[in-house]
Amino acid sequence: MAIIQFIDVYKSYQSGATSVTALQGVNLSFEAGDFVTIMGPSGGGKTTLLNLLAGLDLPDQGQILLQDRKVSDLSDHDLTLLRRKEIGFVFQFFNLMPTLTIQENVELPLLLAHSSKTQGSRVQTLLEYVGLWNRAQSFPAELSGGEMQRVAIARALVHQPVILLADEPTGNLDSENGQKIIELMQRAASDFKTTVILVTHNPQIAACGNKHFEIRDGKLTPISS
Amino acid sequence: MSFLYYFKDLFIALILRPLIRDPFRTTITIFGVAVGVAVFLSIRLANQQTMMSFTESVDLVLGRADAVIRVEGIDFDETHFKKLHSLRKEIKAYPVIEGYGVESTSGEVVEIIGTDLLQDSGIRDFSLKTKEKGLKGLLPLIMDPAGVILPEIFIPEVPFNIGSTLQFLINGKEKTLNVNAILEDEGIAKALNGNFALMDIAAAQKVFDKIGRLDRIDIQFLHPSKFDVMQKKISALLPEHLLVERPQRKNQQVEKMLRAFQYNLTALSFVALLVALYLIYNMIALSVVRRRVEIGTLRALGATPTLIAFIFFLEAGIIGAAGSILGIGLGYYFAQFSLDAVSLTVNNLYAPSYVTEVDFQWQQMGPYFLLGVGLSFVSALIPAWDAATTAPTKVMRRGSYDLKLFRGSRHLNFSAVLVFLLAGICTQLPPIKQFPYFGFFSVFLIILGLSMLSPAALLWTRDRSHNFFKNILGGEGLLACMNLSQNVGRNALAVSSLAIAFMMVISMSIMVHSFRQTVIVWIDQTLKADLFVRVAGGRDIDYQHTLPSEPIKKLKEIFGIADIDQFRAMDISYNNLPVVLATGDFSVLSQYGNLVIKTGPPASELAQHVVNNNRAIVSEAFSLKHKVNVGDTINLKTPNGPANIEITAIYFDYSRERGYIILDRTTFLKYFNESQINSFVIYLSDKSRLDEVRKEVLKILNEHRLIIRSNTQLKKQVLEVFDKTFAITYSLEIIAILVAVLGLFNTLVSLILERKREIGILRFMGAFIHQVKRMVLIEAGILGLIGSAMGLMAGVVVSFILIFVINKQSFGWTIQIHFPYFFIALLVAFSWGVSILAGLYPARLAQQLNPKEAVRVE
Repeated sequence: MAIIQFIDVYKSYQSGATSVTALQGVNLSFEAGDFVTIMGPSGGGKTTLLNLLAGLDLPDQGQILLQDRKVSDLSDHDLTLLRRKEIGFVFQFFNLMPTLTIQENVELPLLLAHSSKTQGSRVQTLLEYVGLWNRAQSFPAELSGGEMQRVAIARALVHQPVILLADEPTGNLDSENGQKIIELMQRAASDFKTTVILVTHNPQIAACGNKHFEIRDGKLTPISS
Repeated sequence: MSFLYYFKDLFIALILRPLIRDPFRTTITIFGVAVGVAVFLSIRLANQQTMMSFTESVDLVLGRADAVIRVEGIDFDETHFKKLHSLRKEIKAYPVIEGYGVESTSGEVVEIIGTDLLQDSGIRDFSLKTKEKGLKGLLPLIMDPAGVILPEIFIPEVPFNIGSTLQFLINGKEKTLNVNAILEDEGIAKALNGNFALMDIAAAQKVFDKIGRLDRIDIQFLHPSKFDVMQKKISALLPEHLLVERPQRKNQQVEKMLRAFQYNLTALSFVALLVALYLIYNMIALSVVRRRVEIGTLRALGATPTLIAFIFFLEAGIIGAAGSILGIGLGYYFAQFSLDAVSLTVNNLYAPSYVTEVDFQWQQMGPYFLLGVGLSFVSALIPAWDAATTAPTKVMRRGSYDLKLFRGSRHLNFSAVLVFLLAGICTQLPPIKQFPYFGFFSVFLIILGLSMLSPAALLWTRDRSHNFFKNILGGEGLLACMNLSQNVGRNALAVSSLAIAFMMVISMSIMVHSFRQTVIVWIDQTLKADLFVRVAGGRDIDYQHTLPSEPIKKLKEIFGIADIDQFRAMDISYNNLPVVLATGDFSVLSQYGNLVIKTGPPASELAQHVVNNNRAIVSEAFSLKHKVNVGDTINLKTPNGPANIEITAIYFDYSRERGYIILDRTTFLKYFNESQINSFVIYLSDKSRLDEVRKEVLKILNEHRLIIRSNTQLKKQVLEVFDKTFAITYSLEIIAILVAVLGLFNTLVSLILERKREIGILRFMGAFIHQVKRMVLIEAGILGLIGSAMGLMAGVVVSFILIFVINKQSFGWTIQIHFPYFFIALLVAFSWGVSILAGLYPARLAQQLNPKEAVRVE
């Protein structure tokens, strides 16, 4: 069963007086457990695609289906619940809360969902999984870039999402650390049966995963592996 | 010139345009500064103009006098005037009668001066309009025993012309006076805001029942002479109790009298200004944070740190200038309210104040503008320094996220402790020239210590309560709590300004409540008489209105009266400080009345010590100001020679801060030949006869207009006067709290703007909009609670300083401390509630943030 489906999706934005087409007739379908990479230059539509996948935006034309539900039929409340329960995010600049400890950062999605008491043990599990349980009481400022991104991955997985969206997760890391992060994400995708959609500039990163796409000028083109 | 163009472009792009683009916060900051400047300005103006109204009037009335001869508090025999004849080649002497009357239509008090009208133009400036020109016009002025001259601008509600008659209440009797001339609006006519009248001296002596007496002789030196030399020559001709003084002395006395009150008010008004300046710091600090990337770019392009700092100084200067200009405008409206409030207090407690309208001179507002701008520059020092020392590489990295957390500063905490200790030491130091400089300094140190401890308070709250917030309020509660340690500088400032304003409210509330309770207990213990009677006209503390004591003796025959105590008082000076010398009948006091004695025998035994003896009791304020105790001797200059009076007891008194010396009537009459009294109190043997006795008194003394109050009525009036006195302090407190809440509001808005990305991430993680709003409101609540708690603790400490140091050293009163617990609890709840309300708009801003825009890096 397809986890995500884009059917002939169009999206444009107003930039001053000009209308910019971000996505043109995008069609895609991802299965559960896919590790998808999407490569493209700046302004190609990668971020727009991720925003649509996350339910933060709606298409101008076409349909987006998440587990057979039409995203455009969902209310803002439902979309928020969707992000809370089924989607995880990893950002280029980690975006950890500087005032919370590592443990609290990972726990945060559960706290927002008021499910910390029932699922709190997952925090330790995930921190051990990413190899940082011994740093649980540290603050983000005390960690290296690679460590922070590992924490971000743990945070993104704590609520057992169906989909993991990663926006240039290695963009702020050196190649060695970047490679380690990709390996971690691949392992997580396999261990937790999570569909990973990763956007990147980097062709080497783009070569990872089982499905590859290129996005340029709003058009998504599959690339054979 | 090219530099100016370069700078101008930078200034417009980096400072002016952002100010215009953020109109809401810019307006709030400017408004906060404006309120602070307006409050400070209006209080200063009210104080200055109240003082000026006294000094200008005194100067106008004294004219070109080089010296003044008088006896303090009472009139003297006019035969002394003739003794000055031997110095006629060196001086010219002008005899004066001065008194007060109440104009019957308006009820306004009018100062009436009687002088030798034919000669007086030699020393005073005035111009007369008479019915006929020349001597024919002047004759009625001298010949009419009821003739009066009124200034052109007299009491507005009282129409008159030459030939009119007006009714005045003088010493309790209605007198009809004939307007024989008008003083043109120049010179002496401008004195006392028109509440002034001139008479020929003979007529004045008759009207005031002072035949053969004078109140004052004004002296003009005919040749340039040294005052001390002339003083010696003149004093040699006169008995010791007649004082030869400089004319400015009266102004100096008034200044001393009002000084403590005015300084206290100025200090209070300064708090509002201080809190407003925190707003500027906040605004500039946020501006620096938001402009970090631009600052880094500029530095990379070659801008010097000085230039960067200068730009932010200018931003503060613009806000300060705009705020000061608006503040001066607002001050114009506040000034009338402040003047009315200050005049009310001065009138009730010190001396008649005739200034009714603010004389607002726009051209004199320059110093207030400079003060506002100058203090704004000072507020911008730290953020401008921060901007100048920002490392360009650190901030130019796109998407860099400031992960730095404040971990606490031991140095700051230790310094705060030292500051508090120093404050404690200052409270033990004595006043300087009767003024509690160290007391005020200790309050300033407490404010400083509070500000220094705010970061620690934030961290302490975070560490102690974050589990509570996490478990009870979930993710939003945890974030709100943990965010206390982010942007500590600005959070600490918001908390400090709230704490300082709240401290002021709490300390003043405790002080006023304690004072009020002390006064209530005191009047319950002291005001024992059943009826209190005085001459109508003026206030209770105007001792110029008198009535003869002879008829009072008849009243003792009225059925139901146990006894009567007669009271006379006069304003004198002792050791160059104003004092009240008073007299009463201690035999009656000891049997029926009461005084709360601090040191010495109880009131019931005072008669045996004081009657027919050279002994007196003094009030606590007098004993502290003059450092005298029971057993010490005070020396008074009296018409019947010097009097060495031993102090028998010290008693508590809260009616006047200048202090009392009270002699028994037998001693007073021995030295002063003054049988007139100001008031008397009646003790009833049969309290059911209160109304009948009142009627009988009025019947027997029907020649005089009297004010008769029962015990209950007088107590109520005393408390009403007390409550009105503090009206202006309540207003200042409310304003300070409002400005502090503005500061909190501004801080929260700036925190939202800075944490856009964080809020965006929360929405990515599945936080509902209402959770984002809750986070902001919880944060506002926590900041408000910390500020209120710190303000409460500091307020209790400062209340002790106000009561036991500042009040004691300024006014000499012992006040028993009483805490208005319920009121304090209400205030805390109010302060906390208002803080949460301050979070509503910032919470709405947070809700409206678009998560995708907030998180976007490219």
